[in-house]
Amino acid sequence: MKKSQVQIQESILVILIITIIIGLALFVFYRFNLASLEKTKLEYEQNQVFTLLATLPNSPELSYTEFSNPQNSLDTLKLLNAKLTNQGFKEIIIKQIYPETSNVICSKENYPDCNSYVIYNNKGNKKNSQILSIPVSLYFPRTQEFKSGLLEIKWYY
Amino acid sequence: MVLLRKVKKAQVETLGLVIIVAIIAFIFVIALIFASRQQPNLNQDYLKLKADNLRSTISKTTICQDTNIRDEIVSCNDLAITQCENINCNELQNIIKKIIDDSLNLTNNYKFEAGNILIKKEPCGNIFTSTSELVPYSDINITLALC
Repeated sequence: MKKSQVQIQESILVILIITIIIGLALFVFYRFNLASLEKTKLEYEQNQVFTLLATLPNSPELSYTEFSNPQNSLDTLKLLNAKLTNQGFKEIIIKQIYPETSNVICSKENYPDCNSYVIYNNKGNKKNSQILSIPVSLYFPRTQEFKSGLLEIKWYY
Repeated sequence: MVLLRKVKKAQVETLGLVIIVAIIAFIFVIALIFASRQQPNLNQDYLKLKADNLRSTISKTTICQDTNIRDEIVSCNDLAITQCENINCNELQNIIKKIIDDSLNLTNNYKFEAGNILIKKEPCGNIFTSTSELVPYSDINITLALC
C-alpha cells in the first residue's frame, strides 16, 4: 500500500471518529436540553398553580364579601355555580375538612349535605399529576357559619 | 540574545494574559452557576401561604352558634371555660389539632400557640415559616409555626 493511501485511510478514520464524537456530543446535549426544558416547564406550571392558589380565594367569583369587603373566605353558594374556564389540564376541588361530613360532591340538590365542590375539571389525556393545596375558610350563607376547608389543585402533565 | 530575551518576555506576557482570561472566565462561570441557583424559593412562599391561611381559617371556624375558635381561645385563656355548652377547653385543643392535621401533609411538623393553648407535632426545631395574629381587645397572640 502506498504511503498516500495509508494517509487517506487515516484521514477517513479520523473524520469518522470525530463525526461519532460530535454525534455523541450532540445527542448528549439534546437529551440534557430536553431534560432541562421539561424541568423548566414543570417549574413554570408549579408557579402557575401556586399563583392560582394564592389568588383564587380572593377572586370575586368565589370569595365571600360583606358590603363589598372581602372576608378571606369562599362563599359556598358561589362555589355551587362557579365554573372556571381556560385553566389548562387541572382539577380544582374545594373540600370541607371540619366539621366532617359525608364524602359527597356538592350539587344544588344535595347542598349543604356534601363535602367537596368541583369548580374546574379538565384532565385531558395526561398521565402524571401533582397536587398542591392550601387551607381555606368556607362560608355558609344560610347558617352564617364558617367551616374549615382545603383548596386542592391537581394538575396533569 | 536581546531578541531571544524579548521573545521570551512576550511569550510570558501572552501566557499571563491567557491565565488572566481563563481565571476571569472561570469566575464568570461560577458566578453564573450561583446566580441561577438564587431563584425565589417557591417552597418557602408556599409554606408561608399555607401557614397564613391555616391560622386565619382556624380562628374563623365556627364551632357552635355565633362562636368561633378565636372566641373560644379567649374564653379558655381568660376564664378556663368555653362559651359552647358541648365543648370544653381540651376538646377545643383536639378540634384545632384535627384541623391542622387534616390541612397539612403528614411530613409537616408544626407548633400552634395561643395563650395557654399549645399544640405541636415534634420535632419542631427548624422553623421554616411562622405567622401570628393578635386577638383584638386581648393580649393573646395566635401563632402558627411550620417546621
